[in-house]
Amino acid sequence: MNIDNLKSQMRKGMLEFCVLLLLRNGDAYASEIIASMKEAHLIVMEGTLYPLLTRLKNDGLLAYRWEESPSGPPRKYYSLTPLGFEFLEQLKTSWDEICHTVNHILLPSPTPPPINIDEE
Amino acid sequence: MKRTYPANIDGQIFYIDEDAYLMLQDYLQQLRLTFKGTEGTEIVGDIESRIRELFEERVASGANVIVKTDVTAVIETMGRPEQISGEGDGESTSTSSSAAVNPEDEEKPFISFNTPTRKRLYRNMKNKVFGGVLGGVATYLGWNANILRLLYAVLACCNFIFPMFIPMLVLYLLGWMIIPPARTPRQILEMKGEPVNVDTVGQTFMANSPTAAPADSQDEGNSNFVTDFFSIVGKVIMGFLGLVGSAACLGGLITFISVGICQFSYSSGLFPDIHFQLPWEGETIYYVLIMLWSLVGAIAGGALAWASACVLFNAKAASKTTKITVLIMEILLISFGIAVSVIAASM
Repeated sequence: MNIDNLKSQMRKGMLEFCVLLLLRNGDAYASEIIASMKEAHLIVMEGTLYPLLTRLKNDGLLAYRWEESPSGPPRKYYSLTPLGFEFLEQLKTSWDEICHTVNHILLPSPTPPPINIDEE
Repeated sequence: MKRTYPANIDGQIFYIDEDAYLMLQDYLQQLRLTFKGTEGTEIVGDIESRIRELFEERVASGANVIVKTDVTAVIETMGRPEQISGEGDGESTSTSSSAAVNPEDEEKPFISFNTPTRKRLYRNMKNKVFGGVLGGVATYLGWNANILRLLYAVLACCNFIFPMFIPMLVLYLLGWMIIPPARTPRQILEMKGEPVNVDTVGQTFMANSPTAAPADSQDEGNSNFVTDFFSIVGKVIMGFLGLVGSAACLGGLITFISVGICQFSYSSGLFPDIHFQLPWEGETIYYVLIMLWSLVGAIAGGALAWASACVLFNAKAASKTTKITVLIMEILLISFGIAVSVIAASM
């Protein structure tokens, strides 16, 4: 069993979820997404994000538009499509389930503290 | 003092040091090779515009010229192509904290410049008579190219004496088609099995630039006596083969068309008055047989003629797709021809 492989598998599944989550609160361009993800220690290699964004876009979960930037050439602003929102809801549900399961096993207390990723 | 290039990155001009320029060029090239197709173009374009942003930050903080360390930093930020395409495979080691970088990564901090050099077989465009196949093989094996050429010539002559001339020739032509030429500095280094890093790439780049002085001609150059001799003998042979090829191509086509017309006029019954006296009139299979083999000959002859024209008159080489298509067509025709021959013989 390769521990690195397992860890990267876990991370891989989470990355797309997090990108969708970040875009839920409003549109962003790649560098903004990168900044937030680096802040959250989600990625180290910035380049990893680009294939991911392109794939999500090609799968119809994201859309982008060109917007003028105060400096330099126009930027690509990504936003969630209705399908993207739908996907995000499903992913959130299954994330809650996973959290619940893992916490149930991890924490011996009868009522595991709810881990809520939804800030609202 | 260093030479500096103006480089257009995503619509923005930056002044970049030569070594930094080469490194960045190589990085982007590696990315393009990793991400292919329209999707890949988009990804690389996005990454390039991110690199522009990072460079803009550098310039805003007072740098006039982008130097090697800037490019190294950018590549470390973006990740090596294999890390990016692995989509986080590299993350697990590096995210767990920067201390946990595995020693291999430490040693070679950026991109493909750090990939261990494996010797690869290329056609040697610096030491060639025709296509550089033997030059490339010699470089790969670490032999003297002329010794290999001599050996090849002797074997080819043996082929002449024993009726097996084709294999050596075919072997050469196949090598020409299959083995890629070493054109970029990276490929030239890989061909020689030398380490690919900024310095060597830079040196090779300089040595290959048109303005560069003709350096180290002793082992690289074309202009020694033996190579000249092979060049002349080769050209004579090539010219002869070109003539034979043209004749075969023309003859094959004429046979193909005329036999085709005969068979058509016979089988359609449109021109009952015109009567071609062929010995096997009525036996359609023989017509098919002749037409097949004449086409095989025509294509092979045409290819040979073209190849010799490429060598002798610098004709434009056919694209890889064309070559492969023709090769597949020829193989199909030959197998058809053999099948029909077997049927005809058993009748």
